[in-house]
Amino acid sequence: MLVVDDDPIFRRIAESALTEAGYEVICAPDVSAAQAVFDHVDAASLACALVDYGLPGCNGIEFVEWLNRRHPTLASVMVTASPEQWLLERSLQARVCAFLGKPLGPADIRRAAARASDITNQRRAFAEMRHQVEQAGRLQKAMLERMLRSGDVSLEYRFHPRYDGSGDFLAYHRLPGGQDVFLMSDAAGHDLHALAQSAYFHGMLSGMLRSGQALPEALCEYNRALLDEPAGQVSSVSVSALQVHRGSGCVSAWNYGGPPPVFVDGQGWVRTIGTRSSPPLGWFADSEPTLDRVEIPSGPVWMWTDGLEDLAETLNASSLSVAYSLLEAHAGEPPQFVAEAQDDVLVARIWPGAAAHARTPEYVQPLIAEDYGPETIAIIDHAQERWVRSLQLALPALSESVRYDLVLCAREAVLNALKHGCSPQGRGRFQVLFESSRQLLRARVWDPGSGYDFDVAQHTARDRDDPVEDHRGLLLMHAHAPRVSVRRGGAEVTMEFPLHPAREEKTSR
Amino acid sequence: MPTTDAHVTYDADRKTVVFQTAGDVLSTTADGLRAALEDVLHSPSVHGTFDWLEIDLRTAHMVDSVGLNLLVWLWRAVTARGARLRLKISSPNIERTFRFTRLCERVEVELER
Repeated sequence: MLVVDDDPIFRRIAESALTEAGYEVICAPDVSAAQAVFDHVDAASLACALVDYGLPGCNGIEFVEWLNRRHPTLASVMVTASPEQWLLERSLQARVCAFLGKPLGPADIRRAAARASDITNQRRAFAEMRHQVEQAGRLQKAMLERMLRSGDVSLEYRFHPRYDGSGDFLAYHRLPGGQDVFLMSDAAGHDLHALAQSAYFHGMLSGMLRSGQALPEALCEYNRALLDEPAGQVSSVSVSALQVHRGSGCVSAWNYGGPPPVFVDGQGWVRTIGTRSSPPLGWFADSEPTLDRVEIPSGPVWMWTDGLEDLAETLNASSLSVAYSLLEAHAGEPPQFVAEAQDDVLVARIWPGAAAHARTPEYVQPLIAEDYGPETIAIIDHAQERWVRSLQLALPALSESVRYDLVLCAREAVLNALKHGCSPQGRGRFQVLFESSRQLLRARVWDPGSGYDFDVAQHTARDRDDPVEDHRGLLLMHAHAPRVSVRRGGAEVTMEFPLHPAREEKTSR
Repeated sequence: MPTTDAHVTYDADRKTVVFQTAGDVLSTTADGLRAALEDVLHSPSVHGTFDWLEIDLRTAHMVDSVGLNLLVWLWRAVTARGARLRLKISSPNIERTFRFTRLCERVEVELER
């Protein structure tokens, strides 16, 4: 117990009272003597500090503030011969745990010291717990780094847990047969329980896969393990698993409730491998994953946890644009918008067809991929705001005029598709892809209709003579998009927008 | 039909009706604007009394095809009354749309930067 008071009588009373209570007491007559105590006494052995306000040199509050900076878990009691309101307020601001007016009897001193000592113990327990959580979080990040930088695989990832530890994890395994498995998981919650569940899941899966168990069976086994948890405890893990079969040139994806992996197919369309219409592991004994198999894409496969989708929703942007923005940011300097995440965010760009450390081929980065039905016509302005926000996030340096051209043309093309080519059963697609090697944005619109013949040149000529009021949307697209190509009578439209267009002067194309 | 926040004034010296609107001219706002403009054109107080109809679009950031059709319709209606149409804008992007579609050759476009 540290007693700091310039009054020798009070020091003697306090020392006597506290010694009687079983404390070892160190007394100091002023602040410099009290500070010097910490040169030879382990601060962790002190239970609390009993500090007089009116000390020579600097006052008791200043000493308590010094303690707060140097030894923040050590609780302090302020004693004073002038217990005035302003001093009470000032003491509370300095985080003292008791404020006592002199004169004080031995019982008062012992009671205050006991309470302060309890608070010190609580603070130390909390600090220790915090330290352990931080260590667990650091360990999780280190394991993620070690696993994904193993040298066998070509991928990039960004991990932004909401707190120190997280329920999100991505594991990579090379199976005995040479197949690669990527396991993106999200244990429910973003607390220590989720972290432990995640570690348990990956430990168990790792053991099973390395001992030769097939991935689907290993996932079923873990589902059973979760369902065997004591009654009243419900734990669940969403899993998106990707297995690369190099021999057959295919990628399989099993999905239990997580966002499905995304890639760009040979026709340049953004696709998912499987869907998310399956419950997570741990809900039902008879849960079946969604399963899909595609050829190994020439470009990357994107995987993320649902925290990224929630963040995209908060930002009113597409998940793909948020994924791109995160992956392009320097690992140690996440974009500011990450602070708005309410959940853990884990995103990866995996090259299933590329050898590790090989220079990754040029690829197309999808920024927006959305499906629309006729109901979107009424909320097209909202959809448009989302496109704008997505482009701003993904390509902050994109000029306003290029963004305007793309968004205006997309609006026209999407509305055209929704009005003429879609039905509640047959939905349309809108996608924006970024080709960084050509510094080009490509907007694509597809509808399930049959399209119709339309002679743009003839219509443009007619409009020049006398402004037309029909098909103006198509004229506008051909005017604002530097390059437009159509297929299936216009049911598929592709428009290209160079990021740095040549100085154009295209009056009435 | 979305309501249109428009403000109409008459400048007797310039024989100009000024129609000030807020926001974009789009498929989702054009019907409301058209109704408001029809009110102006059919209003007994302005009928035949203006040489110019000036549409103040300086708060607009986008004009889409339905918005353009509205302006073409307006140009026809104003021209039929022997008056002229002036569009005041502040967006260079909208100015490009008017230029690409040659609307600026038929109506007076004032770009205020």
